[in-house]
Amino acid sequence: MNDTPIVSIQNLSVALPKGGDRPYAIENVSMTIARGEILCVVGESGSGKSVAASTLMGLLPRGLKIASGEACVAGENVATMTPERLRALRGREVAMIFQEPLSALNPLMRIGAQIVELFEAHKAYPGEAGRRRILELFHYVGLPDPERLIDSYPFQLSGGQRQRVVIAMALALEPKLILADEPTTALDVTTQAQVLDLLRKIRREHGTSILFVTHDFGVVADLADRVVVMEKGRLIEEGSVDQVLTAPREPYTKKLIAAVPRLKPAHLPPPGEEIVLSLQHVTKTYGGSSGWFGKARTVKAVDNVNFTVRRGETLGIIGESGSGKSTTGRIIVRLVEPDQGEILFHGQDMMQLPRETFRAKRKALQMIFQDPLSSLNPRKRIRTILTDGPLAHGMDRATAEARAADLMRYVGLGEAALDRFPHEFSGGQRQRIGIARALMLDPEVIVADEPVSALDVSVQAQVLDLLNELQRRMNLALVFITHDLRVAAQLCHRVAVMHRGQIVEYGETAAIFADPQHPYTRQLLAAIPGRHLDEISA
Amino acid sequence: MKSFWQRYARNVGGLIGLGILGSIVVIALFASILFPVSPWQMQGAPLLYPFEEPGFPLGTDMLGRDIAAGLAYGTRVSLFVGVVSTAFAVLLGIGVGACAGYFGGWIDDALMRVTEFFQTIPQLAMAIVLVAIFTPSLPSIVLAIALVSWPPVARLVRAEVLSLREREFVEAAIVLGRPTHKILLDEILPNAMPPVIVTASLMVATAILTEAALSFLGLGDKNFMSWGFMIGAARTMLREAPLLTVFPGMAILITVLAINLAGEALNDALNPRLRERGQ
Repeated sequence: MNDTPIVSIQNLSVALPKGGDRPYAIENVSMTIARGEILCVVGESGSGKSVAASTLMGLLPRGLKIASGEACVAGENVATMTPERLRALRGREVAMIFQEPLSALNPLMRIGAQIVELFEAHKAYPGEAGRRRILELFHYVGLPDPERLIDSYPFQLSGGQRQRVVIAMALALEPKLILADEPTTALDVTTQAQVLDLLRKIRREHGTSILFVTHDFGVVADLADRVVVMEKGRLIEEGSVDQVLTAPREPYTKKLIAAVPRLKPAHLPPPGEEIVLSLQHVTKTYGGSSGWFGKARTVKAVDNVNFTVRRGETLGIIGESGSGKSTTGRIIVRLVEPDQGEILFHGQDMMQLPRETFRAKRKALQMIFQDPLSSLNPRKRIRTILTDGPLAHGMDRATAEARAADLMRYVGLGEAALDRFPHEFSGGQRQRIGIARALMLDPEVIVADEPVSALDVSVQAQVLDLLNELQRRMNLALVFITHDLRVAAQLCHRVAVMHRGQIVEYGETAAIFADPQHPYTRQLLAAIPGRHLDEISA
Repeated sequence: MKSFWQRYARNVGGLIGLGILGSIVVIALFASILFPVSPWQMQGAPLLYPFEEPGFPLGTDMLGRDIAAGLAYGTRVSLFVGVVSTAFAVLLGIGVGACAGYFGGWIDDALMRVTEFFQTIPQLAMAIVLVAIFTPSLPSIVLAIALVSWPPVARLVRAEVLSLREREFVEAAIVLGRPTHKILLDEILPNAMPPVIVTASLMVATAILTEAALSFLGLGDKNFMSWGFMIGAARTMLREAPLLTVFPGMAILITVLAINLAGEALNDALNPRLRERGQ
């Protein structure tokens, strides 16, 4: 073929609408992608990492405009293309894989028909040839039973299968370039590993260039040939994957790589002896009522779960989506009522208490939520958010406010934060407020449900440090729910691995990471992206 | 608060609506100063044209009553009925909707069946029946209008509460041990208010129309002059003196239009994201 790079972006600046916090989404950015190369663009939220990909597709969000520079695909500037040319380019020469495969597919159309639309738009594979091509593609991306899937609707597929359909669609016309914007972020680790394998295979067998946008250095380590690091709209470092990961030049890159939690379990101070919380034979089944037609579909969300947490101990509950880990957490604080089983707090079964009596006990059992924005009432000042709980338990206002001020300082936000509203804070700060709220009642047990999964990695590291410190200082029993084994390794004394509602492995973190017994645990550990990264840093 | 007014002020129609509404309220408040004589009093020759005689800017009706005075006093009745009946309807609707949405189960089923029962009967027909049963008076008109107009509020509040109670900040309040009534009143309802306020503003307009229709049919309060009564009384003279019906008709039109303009601007200001999407 020829030597012109498939992508050549020269001094590209994209302007943000006036009145934003900065004038440009990306500023003076240059990058090239050679044919058959995988380039990863890494950055935290707000770094402008997705903007370059949108520009190449001619799909800049409303309000964003190219201010200067050019973005060329195969030597042709996207900015000066006519809409007709741009339409011809999309799908045929450049294809895109989106983050959320469910919203990228039309929910009311059979999957096969959605790909046929693409063929019709580009006048390719007419009639029967189209169906044959789709079956071939489904087979290639490893979808089970293509003959059946072709006539299914998106909701009938799992998340991983949907993403494979989106990839098959991207591949359909053999584009020279695939733009992938965080395509594995919404997927479980094991599925993510399979999708990354598939992308490598596509590059190997078809010579397709891939621009892969991600926030995850683990994924970068596994996939990239070259890496571009973005910060606040600027390209700050560029180089081969080995060079950037082993010898980063910029302090920001160093900080990002250092913030990725290591897989080697951390040394934690030993927990106390006293058992604070104990779950025995806890079971929760969803579904059940059958309605008028058809029989009931039931799902055992939590199936005979047993574990104990001691004072000063962190127990990690690890699992993928649908494993029942969140339901288990919610059962502990009784947001979900279990069907069977006992929840013993200092030996007393909480399930036996009537709701009103239990309400007084709630002080001791607190929770930190996943989404720091939706877990704070948008209409209340932080002061009210923090003091509502203690006031409900009979603390007087002066004491509650003094404690709120103390805790704000303790989580690193300062007293001035008390008079502000939740939307005035960043994600990491909001999560600190969520932590402070849980601490206001001086609890003995805290359930933290994926408290850092919505945060950027550098912020994630700070919040984890805070949790770690606070747990030690207050001698808390912490139940830490996560899908991220790296985070679990850094924080948890023991872990319980959940799969389809059951605990399949339970024990000391170090022992399980070193020698997993259950095949599912092994599969999980093998799927962690960027094991390579740990070898480099070790 | 500042940004709310900035967003509201961006809507020119909303400002016009608010301006008209303001003047209408002023007229209602000062009706007895502007027109010290009762609007029922026969003051001049019957069927004067506007400006035919000084002191009667809009002329007189078939009994020689001042039309301008009638309109000014009618403003009081219309605004009173519109605002008070809407207030009752909104309170009832919020109560029913919040309980149905938050508690769910059989409570939801029972309350929603009642709501649907009220919704299946045509509003005006039921209002007529209710006023006829209670005997026509201002309180019975307000009550009747409130009773026929609460179901949409209840459904709206229920839907809002259903989605809000799944939010994490509500779960956080449960975990903190706040009592149920506090969670409902303090956490959920304030967040459900913006769409209710918008609906309420438009309900005021509907209530004014319903009151006018009732008065037109002779089911108004005989102690108070109202726009609907004026139209009803002038109906027989429609061909001889059309202006007698045109003026109160215009008053209803302008008031309802102003309220709708203001309500729409309120909607845009309270839900800024919806507006951006529409552009």
